[in-house]
Amino acid sequence: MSSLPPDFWTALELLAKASSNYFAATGNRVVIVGGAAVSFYTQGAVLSGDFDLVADIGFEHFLLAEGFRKDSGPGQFLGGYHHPAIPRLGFEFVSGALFDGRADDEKLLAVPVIEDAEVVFPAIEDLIADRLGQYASSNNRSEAMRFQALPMFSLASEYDREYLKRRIVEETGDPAVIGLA
Amino acid sequence: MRRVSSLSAFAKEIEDRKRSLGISDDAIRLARNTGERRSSAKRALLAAMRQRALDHGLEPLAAQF
Repeated sequence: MSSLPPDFWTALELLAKASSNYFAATGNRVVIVGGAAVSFYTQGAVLSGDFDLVADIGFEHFLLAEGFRKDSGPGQFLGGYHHPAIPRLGFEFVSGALFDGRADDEKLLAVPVIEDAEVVFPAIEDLIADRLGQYASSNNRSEAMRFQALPMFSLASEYDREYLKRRIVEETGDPAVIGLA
Repeated sequence: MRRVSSLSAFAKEIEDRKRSLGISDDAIRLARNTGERRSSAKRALLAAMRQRALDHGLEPLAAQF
């Protein structure tokens, strides 16, 4: 039994449909990053309802086709999206290349959520490195970032040790924080 | 690209490992990001999430980052 709440799984199903249709039409993939990716890798030990999506704006059409709506304030689009079936969750595009182009696409993780549709997450090594980079660069050594990296590292069934160390250093983090010499 | 062959097996393996390592969901959830690095757009998104949850009588989800 997963610790992830049901609406998180519903979000993955909706994103899988939209992403698969987008991939079929364009050949481009959507990657779920940030807190939602950490939530998946830790199965809710670290839980976030905030889905950051690395995709170009062309994906919006496919999101809206699955029933997502734009967040709007008084007369303006706020930049995020939501789905009326899962109101607690929020979705947002992240511009630019995945981890500034430093991530190895071969290490992305494809997850089949429903038949013929999948979602894609970054490599766990990239997520750990990103968190440790934020930990290193925050003014007061944000413990939240370290506490996100530690369970991901502990729970990883397999990882590329050399790639992980390299990526942590690239993100200006310290591999020793998670015990990597 | 790496690929998960069975989502249920993947989830079960992590849940089993959490139990064996004594990783507590609640303990980690206490270590929430305080938001020091959030942009105004992100704060607006998170505020909208929280308000929608409350409007539907649901407990808002933490947004770690």
